Amino acid sequence: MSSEAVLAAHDLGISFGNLKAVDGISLELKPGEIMGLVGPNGSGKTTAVNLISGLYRPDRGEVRLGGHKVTGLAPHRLARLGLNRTFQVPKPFHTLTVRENVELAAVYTRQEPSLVEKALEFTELASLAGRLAGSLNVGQQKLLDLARALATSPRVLLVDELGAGLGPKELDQVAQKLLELAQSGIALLVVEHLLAFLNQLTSRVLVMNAGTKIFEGNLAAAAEDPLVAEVFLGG
Amino acid sequence: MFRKPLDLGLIILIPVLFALAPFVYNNQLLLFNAMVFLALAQGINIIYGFTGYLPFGYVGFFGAGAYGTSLAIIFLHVPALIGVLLGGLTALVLGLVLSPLLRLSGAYFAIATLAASEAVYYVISNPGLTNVTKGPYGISLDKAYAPHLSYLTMAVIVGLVTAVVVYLKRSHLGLSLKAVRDDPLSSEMAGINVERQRMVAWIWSALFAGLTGAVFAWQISVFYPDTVFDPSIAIFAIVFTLFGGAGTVLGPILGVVVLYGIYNVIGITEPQYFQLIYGVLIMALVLFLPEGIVSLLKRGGINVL
Repeated sequence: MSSEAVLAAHDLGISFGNLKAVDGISLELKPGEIMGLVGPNGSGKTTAVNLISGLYRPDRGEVRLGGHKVTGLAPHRLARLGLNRTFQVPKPFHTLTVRENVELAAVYTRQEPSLVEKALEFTELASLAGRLAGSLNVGQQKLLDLARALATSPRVLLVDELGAGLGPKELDQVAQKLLELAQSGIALLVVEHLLAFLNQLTSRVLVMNAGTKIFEGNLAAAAEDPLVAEVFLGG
Repeated sequence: MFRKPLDLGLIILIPVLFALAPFVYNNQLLLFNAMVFLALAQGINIIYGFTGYLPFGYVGFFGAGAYGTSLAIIFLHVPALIGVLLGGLTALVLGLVLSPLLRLSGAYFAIATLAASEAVYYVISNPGLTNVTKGPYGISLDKAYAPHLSYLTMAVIVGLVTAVVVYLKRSHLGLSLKAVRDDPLSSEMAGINVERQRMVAWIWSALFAGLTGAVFAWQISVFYPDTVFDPSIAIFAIVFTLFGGAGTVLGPILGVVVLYGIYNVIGITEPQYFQLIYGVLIMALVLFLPEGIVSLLKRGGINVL
């Protein structure tokens, strides 16, 4: 692994029964870098994110954060070490207010209280800070999920289908936000179905199918790749 | 964390009122039982109101506290107040032993705690253990009997459990417990150690049931296993908490004052009507007011502690 990578996953694998959901995935991210993780439904993208973020313990392989081995650490430990994520289906704390949602993340990862306001302003939720999270619409809940992650001051952020269910205008806004985060030095792994959205963010993609990597490199080159075309278009 | 003077006022006022009440109302046993139910209702509030775990077998900790105290007084010859602390400790240890139950959720957790409390009951009441627990023949603490001191001790415990609930209501700890109840995965990603937080609430809850059972044993001084392991003790406390409103400080207090009040007005003279009213009330609550009567105040725009 190169010395400057902030996140390095090597040969990650996990099986559920006979199904090899993720079978030997490796990737590296430098600070400020954005990598797209694409593939058809059921190809193991979210499982890979769950392995890296500590929700599942991998059967094999290892994860390094800033050079230190963090494989198998509980998610709350990873969150305190600067690795965070958003969820495909946003999971805010419904009975708490928007501000309380973000505040808890800052408090329990021992961040400056000022990060709470910064995260709320960045995600444009400041005007909703007193509302109950359960009363937000899905787009707002996704932003709240992002704000919750940002309040932990992450070095690595795994973004799981933030674009799904957003309108074209919201997508452009979210893409701008993610680019800003990368410019601030956060490494982003972006799981995404919407390739046009991903194209705004990065040219570097990793394509998965049936738990394995079938392509890594340029997004435009991926479109030319016969195997990728077969997987996506059904050949 | 405490917002003086309102919070401190509440924490001090309740035990002081109970301590003075016998001077104006001479049924001290009724007042004592009200305190017992208030402490148990708040103990259930700690675990259910903040984490969503409903311990149907909560009485197990109450009984463990009663027996822990009694056996400490009988065999270790400790003063009653030390015995009460050891009773609380007994329930705390039982809470640690039963902590794997927290892996269950919903109805499974509720039923598993009920089974666990029954298991503890059958062990203690087993005639084969008569030399240790006095088995089914019950306990007599006649030498330690001190109705006034035990009454005042109970008032102090009510103050302590109220303080803990106020603290949860005001602190990030309480907020984190509610976050864990809403979504454990997001809680982990917020840096919250989900298992540890659940454990903290569970242990506090067990400790207060144990202390309450301990003082109860000391107060009545003669009792049998089925007195202190009666599942209806926990059911009553749960209903008081739900009726008033879980997750608030005032809810369980209102629940005990109103429902235990009704129980003592009509329940003793005409128990059949009481059971009818009680049953209808519980159904009405679940259907129309699942968050208890304090939710009426909230709807009226009043911020309830």
